[in-house]
Amino acid sequence: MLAPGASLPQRSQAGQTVLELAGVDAFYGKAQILFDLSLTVGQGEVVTVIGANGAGKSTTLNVIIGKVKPAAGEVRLDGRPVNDASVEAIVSKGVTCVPQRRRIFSALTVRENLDVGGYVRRHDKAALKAGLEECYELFPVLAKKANSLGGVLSGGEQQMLAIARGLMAGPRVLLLDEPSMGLSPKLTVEMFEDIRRIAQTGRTIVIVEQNAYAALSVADYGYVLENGRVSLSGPAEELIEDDYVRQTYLGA
Amino acid sequence: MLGQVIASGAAMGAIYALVALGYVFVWNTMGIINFAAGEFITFSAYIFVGTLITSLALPFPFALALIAILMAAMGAAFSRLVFSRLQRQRALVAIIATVGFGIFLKEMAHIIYGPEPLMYDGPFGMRTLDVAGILISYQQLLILAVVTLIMAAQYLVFRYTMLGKVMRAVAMDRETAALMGIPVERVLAGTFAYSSVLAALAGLLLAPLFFVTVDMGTMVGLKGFVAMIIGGFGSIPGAILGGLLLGILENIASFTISSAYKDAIAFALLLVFLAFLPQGILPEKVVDRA
Ligand SMILES: Nc1ncnc2c1ncn2[C@@H]1O[C@H](COP(=O)(O)OP(=O)(O)OP(=O)(O)O)[C@@H](O)[C@H]1O
Ligand SMILES: [Mg+2]
Repeated sequence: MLAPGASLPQRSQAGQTVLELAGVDAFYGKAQILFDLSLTVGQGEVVTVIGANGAGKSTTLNVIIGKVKPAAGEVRLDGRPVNDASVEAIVSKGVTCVPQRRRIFSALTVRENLDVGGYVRRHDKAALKAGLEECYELFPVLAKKANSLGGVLSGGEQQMLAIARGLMAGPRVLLLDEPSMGLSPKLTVEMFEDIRRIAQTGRTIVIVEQNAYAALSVADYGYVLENGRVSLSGPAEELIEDDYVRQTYLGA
Repeated sequence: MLGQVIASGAAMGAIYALVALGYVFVWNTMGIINFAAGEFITFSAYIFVGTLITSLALPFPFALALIAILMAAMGAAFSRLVFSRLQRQRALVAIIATVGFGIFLKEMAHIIYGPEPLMYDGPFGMRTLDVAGILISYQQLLILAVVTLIMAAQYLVFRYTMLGKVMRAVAMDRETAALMGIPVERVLAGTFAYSSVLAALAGLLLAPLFFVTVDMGTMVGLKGFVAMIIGGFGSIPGAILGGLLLGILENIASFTISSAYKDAIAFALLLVFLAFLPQGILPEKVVDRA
């Protein structure tokens, strides 16, 4: 399954490595999902992982956030291994995951969803206030609907809320699981525009997506995940041009 | 006379509401009905009357604080050790396990405190107050005051504090709450502890109205369950309304028909609701569009 011409140029690492998976194997019960998976995310980078249904994208994020413990290999944050850290510990260290399908607390208001997102910073009132202001600035519609129940928002608004809720924890690294899922082409474009704006705040972002073109367009670097293995990786602009990627994921 | 009947029915109903709320919280967060709730009431009434008030002769407010702490600790421990494990079991297994734990508590009370019923006059003794011709005992006033206070405090905590929002988030979607760094197991234990405190309050408030016996909480526990169903399964306002309604209706019925049927009336009411309004009076609203 390896693409022809898989030897793309080495990435020029601008900043320091923030997040790293090294040779990770992961299982659900007896089923192995990830095989010797390695990936590197530099400070301030936007990294996109593309892959088909069931390739192991969500599992990869679950390993990073501490929900799934790797059976082999290492997860490193700022160079230190965090294999045994709880989700709470990882979130407190500045990594948050915006889950697939948004998972809004439907009977909580928009504002309450954001408050819950800030749980790990609950004792830092000033930071929470600044976080809330940033969210409302990024997504003005959330300020307007602050008192609406999360469940009555449109799909696009719910995705904004899910991302904003993630930002409330004050992450340095934001993990986004299929942010374009269920959005119209127009909303998808807007969503990735929002993601680009978040990247401009200096945050590091990992996006896993099936919508390869949109997600690679905003990324610095990309990985292709197939059956739990990295089959290809390289600078995003080169992956978009790559014949194999174009045929398999861009429908061209 | 009707005013009298309604007033004492409301006091009893307030107790049912406390118990019903306990069921609601445990159901909403863990998806299990705690059929030991009635025995939590019995057990805490024994500790309160037998140990704290009689043996240790503690003043009422101290005893109240202590029983709340004790039952919260017992609830949290029970939740961590037993309930969290029952989550992965089939519903029937969970039900039988809680019933079994109830029997265990009942027998423990029997072993520790003996077969004789305990008597307790309450902090105000047997005095009554005449409010516009309605005789209401201080104990009934205390019940109504404590329950009103608890409901108000609970509303404020749920609505406005981080703790309240986190509890609601965990009840709604545990997995996502965990993703926000919320320690879900601890929140579940805390919720169960709170429902145990509600049972403890029910026990100590009821003690002066009945003798404290090993069967004291059983019927109240069942009626609290009935109150939750007629109010709307899993609904907080429903539990409060259902409790009050049940207390008042059963009192009116036992006054106009016969007090011999008092307990039967609660279950007749349950059948009526299950037949004609199975979702209850104030069912939980489900909001989800996208
Ligand atoms: N909790 C689980 N228990 C058992 N198997 C699971 C679990 N979650 C995922 N899997 C399996 O692991 C494999 C990878 O799933 P994963 O969710 O990581 O894929 P994905 O790339 O995110 O797919 P999608 O695009 O559909 O979200 C799939 O075969 C899936 O069936
Ligand atoms: Mg997925």
